[in-house]
Amino acid sequence: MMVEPTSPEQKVPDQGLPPLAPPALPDAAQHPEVPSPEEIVRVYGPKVYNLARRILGSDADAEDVTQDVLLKVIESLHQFRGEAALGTWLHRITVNAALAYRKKRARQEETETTTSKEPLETFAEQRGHGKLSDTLTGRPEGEILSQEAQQLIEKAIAELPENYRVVYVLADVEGLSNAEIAEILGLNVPGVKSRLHRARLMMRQKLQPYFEELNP
Amino acid sequence: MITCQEVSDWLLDYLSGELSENDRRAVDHHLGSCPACVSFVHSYRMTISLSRRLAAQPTPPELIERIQVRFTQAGHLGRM
Repeated sequence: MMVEPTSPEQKVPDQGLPPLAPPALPDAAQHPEVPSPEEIVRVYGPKVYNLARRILGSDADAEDVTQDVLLKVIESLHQFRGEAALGTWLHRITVNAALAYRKKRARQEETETTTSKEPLETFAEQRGHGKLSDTLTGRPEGEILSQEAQQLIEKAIAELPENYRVVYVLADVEGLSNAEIAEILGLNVPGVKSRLHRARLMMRQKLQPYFEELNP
Repeated sequence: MITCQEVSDWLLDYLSGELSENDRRAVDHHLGSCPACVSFVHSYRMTISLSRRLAAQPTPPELIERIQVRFTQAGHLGRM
């Protein structure tokens, strides 16, 4: 049975992210699978940019973070053992760099973040939306989303509170496992699951109008 | 019979196949007689499905160009 903490934020304080040090790895010369700097920019640049963009909700800020992250990756290339280690490390340093960037910007501008603080509606309230479509999944899983749907989902993600947004993006957009996310964010797996579930409920609530539009 | 709230609380593990056999059966049993929860689970699944189909935003060509120039100047990149 899943044990859902009633107050995950009390159990899992949002601090203590792991340091940015790359994993201790053997000599890269023995590992030809290690990508070249050119490959890093070409292959991983778009991945870093998209992750940073979804965490920060800003194209310009994501560009700054992408440059910094790629520089860090390229400078540490000799330490990588291969694609798997690089992927995990890339996610971690991108998340950390994006969060640090956001903090720095917030201090500079002395403004509140623009993330939504609207309270999560209760399960009972959500279930009151009786018009939920039962034909939504008539669309095949691999089908490309319309531009309208794409924008709506991106907006809904951007409006999630940061703690939930980061977990949601890593899990449901990037496809990372709960264990990987826990490692990246310095949380435990139950804490990740709890945040993910709440994030999904908030996303579901925000996408409700779109669901109803698809199935009036 | 479990409650609607329990269905919600267990949903993440239910969908990822991490519930025990007994708990999974309990959720299935509840869903067999609660259309509201069926609808709820359906929209929860749909939310996940939509997010997984998000397309990557194209990286601005100017960004790649800036990175290449910066890194080439720093000696990190050869001719690209």
